[in-house]
Amino acid sequence: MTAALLVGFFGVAGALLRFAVDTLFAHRAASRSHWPWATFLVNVTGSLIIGLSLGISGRLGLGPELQTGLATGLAGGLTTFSSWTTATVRLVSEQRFGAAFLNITANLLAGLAAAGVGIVLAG
Amino acid sequence: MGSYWINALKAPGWKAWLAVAVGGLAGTELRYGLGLLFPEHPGSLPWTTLAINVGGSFILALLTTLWIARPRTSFWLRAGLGPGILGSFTTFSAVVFALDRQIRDGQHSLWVLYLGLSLILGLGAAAAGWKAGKAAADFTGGAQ
Repeated sequence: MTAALLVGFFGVAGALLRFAVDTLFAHRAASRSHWPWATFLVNVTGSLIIGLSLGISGRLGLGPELQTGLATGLAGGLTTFSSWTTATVRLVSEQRFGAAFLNITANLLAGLAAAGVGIVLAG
Repeated sequence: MGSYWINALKAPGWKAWLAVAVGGLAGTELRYGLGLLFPEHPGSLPWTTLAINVGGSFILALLTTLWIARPRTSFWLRAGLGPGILGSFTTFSAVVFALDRQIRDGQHSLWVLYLGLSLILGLGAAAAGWKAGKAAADFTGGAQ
């Protein structure tokens, strides 16, 4: 019950943060040479958070509910898979194959690195 | 998608923020609930997350092309469904976290399989949704 409440609270926070970043980048997204920077930014940040969440709640003795809230709620709500794939398909539909390829690889590599850094920092 | 359909000239109103909050709550709890119903175990393929991400990719891409054809759809509705529900329902961090763990544990065939399925099925679902949305918009004469 506590976990579900924390997941909901942090999930809303993650979604609002992601929408705020989307809004900040909206003027760039309208240009012809757009690239999904907002999604990249939230995906890398959320990957860092999920890595950190593993160690931090254990170290501070805050219990598994908070870890679930941070990992499933905050990191899960902040990051998004569907915008990443949809943006890639959009770039392909505009024949911007290099930008599409870069969108796939940059999110994956930076996301993996960020999660690794989070685990090391918190561990 | 860097939600490119956000009006660049106008800050979103309170209705859009509220819709994102409500949608974010629903999407996150739905993902959490599915994870409780179909738990994932370290060492095996994270099917639940994969299914969530593939399904969410199809629906978001479909809605995106529908909304390109119908730009007058209320902004709060698009915000609540897109960045709200689908953005929160699907997740990137859990994929990366699971891959990191599989790589560390030396489960090389598992992480290659998970990464390959996420990319092929996720991008395939988005491409299919993109085409389906376009077809639906054309069929209903949705250009405006």
